[in-house]
Amino acid sequence: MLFVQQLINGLALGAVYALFAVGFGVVFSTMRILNLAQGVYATWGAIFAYWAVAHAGLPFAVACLVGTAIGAVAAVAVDQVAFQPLRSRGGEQLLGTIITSVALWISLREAASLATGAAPLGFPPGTVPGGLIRFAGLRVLATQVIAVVCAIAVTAVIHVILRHTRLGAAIRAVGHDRGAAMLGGVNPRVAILTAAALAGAATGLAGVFYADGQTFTFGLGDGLLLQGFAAVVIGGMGDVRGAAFGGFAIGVVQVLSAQYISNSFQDAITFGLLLVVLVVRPRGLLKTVELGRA
Amino acid sequence: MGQQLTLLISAAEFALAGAVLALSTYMTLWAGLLSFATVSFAAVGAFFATHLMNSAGLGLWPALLVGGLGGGVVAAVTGLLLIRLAGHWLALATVALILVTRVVVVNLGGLTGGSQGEVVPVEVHLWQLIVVLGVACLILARLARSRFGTAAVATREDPTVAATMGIPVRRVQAVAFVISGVLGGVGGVLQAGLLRYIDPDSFYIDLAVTVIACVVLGGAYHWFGSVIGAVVFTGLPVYVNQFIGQGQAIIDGALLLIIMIWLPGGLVDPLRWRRLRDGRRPAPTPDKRREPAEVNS
Repeated sequence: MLFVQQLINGLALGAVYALFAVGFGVVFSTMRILNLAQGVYATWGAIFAYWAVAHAGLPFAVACLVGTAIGAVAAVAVDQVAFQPLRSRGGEQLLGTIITSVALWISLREAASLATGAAPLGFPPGTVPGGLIRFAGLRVLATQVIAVVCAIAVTAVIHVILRHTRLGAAIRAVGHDRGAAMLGGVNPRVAILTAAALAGAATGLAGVFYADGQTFTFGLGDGLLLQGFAAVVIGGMGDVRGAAFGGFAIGVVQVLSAQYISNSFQDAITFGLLLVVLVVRPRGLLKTVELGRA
Repeated sequence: MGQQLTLLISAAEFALAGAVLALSTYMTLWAGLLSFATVSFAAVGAFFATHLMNSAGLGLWPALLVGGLGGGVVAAVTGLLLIRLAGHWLALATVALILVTRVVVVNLGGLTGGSQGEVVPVEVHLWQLIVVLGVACLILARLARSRFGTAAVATREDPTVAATMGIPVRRVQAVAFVISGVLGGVGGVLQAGLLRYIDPDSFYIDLAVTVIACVVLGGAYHWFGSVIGAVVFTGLPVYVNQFIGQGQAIIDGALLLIIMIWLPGGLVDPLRWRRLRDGRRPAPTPDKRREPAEVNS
């Protein structure tokens, strides 16, 4: 019974990682950007959701929407400030975008530290849905259910958008070959901004869910960045379903290893798994076919 | 005044140690590998050497040798596994390597002091840093003029073409990776000697970010760029810190962004210099064919 309980806790934690990983994976697979500023979107999403609840007195559901919107806005802004100038210059961009994403990462992180006074924040009691579902001796928090349901829903929506709509086809086309996509009548700017907004929205929501059960600080995004990064690599980046699977897997592995092995080996197991996957199956567990030129 | 001088010397010391680490990352970029692994090599070198300094009473010079050796061995092993990954994936894998290195350091408490960290018994002085960096620069300058240097540039520009020309691409990259490991290990020992106290967080993502920023913003197409980059991005902040309080990271970030957008080749950019020099010369007469550009980085 303890095992099932911890499995549920792991899935709930994994839902947060899955949301983050989906955002990270969308950007990496469509734009080839290793975006280290991604964690900051989650931080700002969480901070704004906290303000919405604690200062504006809005209900939690609205706060989730606020966090999601802030994540999307932050992602679009970062894309325009940090990545668009390099993109319009053309040429090899991987190195340049890493540096500019670092620039935005440290600036926005510092801004978050100033905005919160570097003090730990926590959603006031009673503002987060506090329901407890008891079922066959198991205890499941309402927020855990919400997180898992949202993670699955968001993954499904983004998957459908990317794979089954014209806009998604445009995004993938731009990611593969910008010039050819433009010849095909795609407006690359719209495609890129949509991808960035989708990624940011998922990340912002991840931030809210990560923050709602604990006190958090402006460093929230950094921890999430590392775990989400591991999730995305393990699950595979070509497909958002893979990234989401990776997120859930990391969550479960973390909680179970803390329970049954040792708290101090939690990270060892996660990141060890990460390295093994990279060496054995560099494209992730759910491998996607990738075509390219020699 | 005395305090200013101390700060200045301290800034110079961190800049020189940072330059060795930056050169280590430059080595891999030279052969077309985007790798963050320098930090892992530095961690291995630093903890290995510090352990021997504490237990066997090693001095600085043997410790540097040991650190370089440790970094090189780790680079050889990880290189064997990772080099076959393509561009983006190698970058991801080396970030993962940093995360794993930290976990290993934390869990090998007996050797590394675990999460508590450990004190470094040997101090590093300015002249020693100058000597080490000087030797490293000499070696890189020599390498740049060797067959290896030309092969590395060709590999970086286009591995497929390089392979067609008979360059053993994988071997060139492996050699670059091992040299990077040795430099990284040495740099780690120097860094440890400056910090005088190292814990798992001394060699983590933030150091990786600083080092890659030094290389790219200094200029990733010439080894001297890494040195300049280290002076600007590791030395300067140590000195300037006293004038700026809160919000320093915002200024750092803005600086990174501005340089990356307006000076894409970095501060030391041989290509831009050549272009400027060519621009000042009178235009070549049509009947005289231009010499092909010389590969000389």
